[in-house]
Amino acid sequence: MTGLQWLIGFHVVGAFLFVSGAVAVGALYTLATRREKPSEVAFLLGLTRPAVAVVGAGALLTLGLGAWLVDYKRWDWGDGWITAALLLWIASVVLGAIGGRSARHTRYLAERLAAEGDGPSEDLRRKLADPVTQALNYGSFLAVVAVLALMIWKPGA
Amino acid sequence: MSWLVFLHVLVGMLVVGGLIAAAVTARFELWNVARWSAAAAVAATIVTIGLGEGLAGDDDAQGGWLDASRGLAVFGLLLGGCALAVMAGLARTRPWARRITALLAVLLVLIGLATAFVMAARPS
Repeated sequence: MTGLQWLIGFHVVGAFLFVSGAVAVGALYTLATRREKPSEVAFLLGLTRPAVAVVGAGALLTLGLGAWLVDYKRWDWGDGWITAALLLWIASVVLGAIGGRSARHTRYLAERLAAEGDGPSEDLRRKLADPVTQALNYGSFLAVVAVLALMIWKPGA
Repeated sequence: MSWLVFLHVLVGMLVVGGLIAAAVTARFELWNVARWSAAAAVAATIVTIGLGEGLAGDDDAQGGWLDASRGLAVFGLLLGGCALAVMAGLARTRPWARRITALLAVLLVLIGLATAFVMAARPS
């Protein structure tokens, strides 16, 4: 196998970790929004942490090996598709981090409510269904899917 | 053809996403969720294989990498995913199945990543 094949192979593995991890986080978060008891919500939101670690590892691997690939193939950093992919990668990470911060605070609230009797809470329900958090998470996911599209079509390359 | 590649990769990512969710929930003994995640991954695997075969036909692709990825997808992800769904169902009532199910879920995530590596790097 050539160096380029190793680079492309692990770059794609990184992309799989990034996107698939985000899918798993989304599935677990959605599951949490359908529970009533704060202890169950806290437990399910806690389960997103390993999946978030997978997303982080994938994001770093994708960026690092992507930059190496640009150098290896002597592409120009100023090419539209590369610049757009980099900006969308940043957007995805930033939106995901802000959305994740909100989810973390929701988990803290759920843990507190669980310790105080574990009864259903309107405040928790409202936080789980917060449209801003959902928009951030969906925006993060759509940005990374757009990166995937750029990687496949490479417009202007 | 690019649309086929895009959808093939995207649905493949859903397969691995379902398997990651199954692995995490199996680790924490949420067997019902693990079972449904595995079942979703199996359904997505069937779609991914179908799209992949369409791509292979369009490109007239051949090679060891294609055979290897077919083997991983069919015998690893498809049959393994079905086995995971069954094992997760058993694990609800049979303690002996729990450790095996959790390990199988992690193994399938690794097989999914290995399949992606082989398809992208195309060794041979």
